Amino acid sequence: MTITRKSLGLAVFLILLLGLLAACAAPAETETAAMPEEEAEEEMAAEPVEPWYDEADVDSDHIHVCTDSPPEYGGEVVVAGGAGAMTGSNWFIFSARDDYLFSQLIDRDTDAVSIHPDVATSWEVSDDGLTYTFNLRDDVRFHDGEQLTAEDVKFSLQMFFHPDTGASHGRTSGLDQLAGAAEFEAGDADEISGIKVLDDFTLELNLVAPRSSVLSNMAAFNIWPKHLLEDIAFADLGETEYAVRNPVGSGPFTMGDFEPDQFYILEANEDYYAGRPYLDRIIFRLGLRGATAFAALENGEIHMAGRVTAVEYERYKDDPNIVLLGGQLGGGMTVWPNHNRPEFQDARVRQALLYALDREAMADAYYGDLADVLHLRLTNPEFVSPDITTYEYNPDRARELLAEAGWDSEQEISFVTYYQDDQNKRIHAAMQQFWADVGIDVELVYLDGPAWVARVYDNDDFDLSYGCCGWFNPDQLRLSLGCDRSWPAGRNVGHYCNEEFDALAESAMSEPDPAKRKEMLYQATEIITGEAGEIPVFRPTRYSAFSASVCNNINRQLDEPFAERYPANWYLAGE
Amino acid sequence: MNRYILRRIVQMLPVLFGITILTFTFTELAPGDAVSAMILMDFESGAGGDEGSNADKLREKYGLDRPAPVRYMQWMGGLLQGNLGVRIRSKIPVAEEIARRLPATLRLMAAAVVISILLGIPLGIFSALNQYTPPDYVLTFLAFIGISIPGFFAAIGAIYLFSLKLGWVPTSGYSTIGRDLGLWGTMLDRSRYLVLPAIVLGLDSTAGIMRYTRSSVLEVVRLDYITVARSKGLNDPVVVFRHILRNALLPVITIIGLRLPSLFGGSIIIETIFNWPGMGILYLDGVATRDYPLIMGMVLVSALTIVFSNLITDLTYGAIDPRIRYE
Repeated sequence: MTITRKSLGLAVFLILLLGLLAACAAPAETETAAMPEEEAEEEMAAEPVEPWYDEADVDSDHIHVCTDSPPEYGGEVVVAGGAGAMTGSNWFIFSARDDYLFSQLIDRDTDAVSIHPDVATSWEVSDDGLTYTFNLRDDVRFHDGEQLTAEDVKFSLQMFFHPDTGASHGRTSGLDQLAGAAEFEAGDADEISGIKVLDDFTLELNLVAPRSSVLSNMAAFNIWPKHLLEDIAFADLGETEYAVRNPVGSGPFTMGDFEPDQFYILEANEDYYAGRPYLDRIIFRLGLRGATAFAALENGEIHMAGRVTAVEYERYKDDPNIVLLGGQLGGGMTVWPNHNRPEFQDARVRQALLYALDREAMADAYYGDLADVLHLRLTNPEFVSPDITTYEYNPDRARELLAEAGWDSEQEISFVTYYQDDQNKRIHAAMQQFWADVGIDVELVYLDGPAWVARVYDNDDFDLSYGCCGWFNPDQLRLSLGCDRSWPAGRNVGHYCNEEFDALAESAMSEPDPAKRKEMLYQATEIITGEAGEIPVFRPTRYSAFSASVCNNINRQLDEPFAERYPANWYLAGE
Repeated sequence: MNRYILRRIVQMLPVLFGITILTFTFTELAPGDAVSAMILMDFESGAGGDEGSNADKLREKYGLDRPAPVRYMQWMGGLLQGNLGVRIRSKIPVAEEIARRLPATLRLMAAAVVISILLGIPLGIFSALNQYTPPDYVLTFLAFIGISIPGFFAAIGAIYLFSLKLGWVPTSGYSTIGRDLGLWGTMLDRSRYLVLPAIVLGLDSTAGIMRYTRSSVLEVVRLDYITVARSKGLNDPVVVFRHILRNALLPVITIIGLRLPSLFGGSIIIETIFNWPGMGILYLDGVATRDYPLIMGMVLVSALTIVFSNLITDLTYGAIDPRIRYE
């Protein structure tokens, strides 16, 4: 067969197509252990494994894929602010996972719910749901060359539970039923008996009672290097050179230059087990935020700026050089009525507070496209009953309910919040007006953050409080709204308490049968909305602004603290 | 003279002591503490946990559970040994945090003060010597605009014009990150970042210095010894620089002296807008996180610079005006 121009063209096309497929393949997460690193690095050689994103993601608002620009190695991306574990000026913060410097046992898919392997290649769960066995990769090394083993995982999990580290997820995660965890937390045991290292690459977890969210919780913690940290008392870890300047993990990037308050640089980890990341480095410009960051983005000095306001949203939404990535928050803005005060123990008063608000109109007026009405702080649609009570704007109904409850319209109600920017103040003024219309006289009290904590948490001195956020994980219904979860045991701000609700939410946490679990959660969500246990208001949509030249970029809002960015997949589009 | 300086320094001690007590008291009176701030950070991140019990442990760890007078004494004890304590948030010693920020702030503020002196004094003299002429009116008008425009507005306007539209300088930052540019390259690079915030800050005080210079020169110009100097036949530059300026500068030095502490304190607004890693932002962060070792350390440093710049101002009077003597 002679080579014609046509077949040559076809060959070129096929090669390009292959390259594209290889580009879609996950270079970081889904390679099998057997695949040599060189192969993963070579763009054409890798057999197209499962793409790291779903087809459905491509058109979504949270992923930016460059279909017409194949992946390239090299280049640097500049980001405004810190990321991952680096949220303050210290790496030793537990509330965030960090997929730049660290590996985790498991990663979450781009839907933020399903999971896929990271350091653990596979896992088995026993039939009774009490034993989890994880098989680890044997080719993962920390940045200093030490091998990552099951001992490191055990060490990291224990750090999670140790009272001296200040980590707070021991109890809230699905790991609260780990055998021996309570004894370890109380200081009665030197280690958690329920975490067993079977061999270097096999780890077993033993639970006392089944928990449905163990696996997704395993995606939430970083694996720390035991050999570097074991000789340091947990209480002192935050002051170490390791925490302050030189964190060592096993993730796709290694720590480079660091100038506190100014920047830090992450360099590509050439020895990353799943192949070197595309980018040579990522520069984080600390402290750069707000309008200054957007100016720098527009000027091409940086590639990623932070959360946009309605102003930047309008400016960027049709800009071809800037993409807005994000989505709805896993929760939203809520008013907490103080259930410890007699007037708010009457469900009719709480319902009246909801009926009195035209949330639809407020969302339109103050957020535009960037918020919807929130009906419940649990936002995972899978577990929210379709029959929850929603409260349409109905001031007459509100007045009726208040009259029935014998509401004294002379009394002044405090509304305590630390959300004191202009937009929020306008919203609060509107709410104040809506409530005044039905005879509820509200006084707005603005405090800064620490003062709010002191007044609302420590002194319980408020009628209504206003604040943020909710959850995607249904366990939080029990953990955040249980009768026993008021401060200081938990963060049930308004002291909502309903024992039937607690029982349902509690059983759902350990129910292995998905259908039954769902049924329990449906009932629980109907109960709390039916009696207006909380006053949910808005569910904001949050976008961050990015340069369109950064491909494979992802920014999800759900489950924010554990958000994954898959930085190993980022690459710069060719000119 | 030396006795005078020594006496002034001894007088400073009770003042500084009083300032530390006042600052500590006000920090105590503000509701919430460093642990409340941490709790909120965690809360914002959406992670509901059991921080209530944790909060007590953290308070114990940072010594926040002890009574205020005890903590003050501990802080004072540390200070007498030259130890300013550790910033709670970052676990880095306060002295190190301040030392790291100080060069950036000094660069910015020194550049701004130099700009305002170099522009303000000559323009003020010029304005005074040409009193009630069109150039004087124009300068007076510009000075009032300069005094009236808030710094943040000028800053945003400058970024828009010189960075976004003209592309002459970067929008914000301290230096180009992650490049090895060599000695001269680095200096040039840093100047590009310095120029905008320094000019915005400098112009802000230029107007004031210019107005003070003008009125002070006008006062001196009418005095008898100037008439005598002129009648001796001295030429204009000699009269202006040797006779007028020397006497007219006293009030101007007071104004500049009052600005010296800001050299160390930085400017919160300008630093925020230009992402300049200086003292102002650190101070704001300290207050927002109720980081009392950091607040105390920074207030102490500011107080020291204020009392010392007052001293320096007083000494400069003596150097410029021989009528002033220090016993």
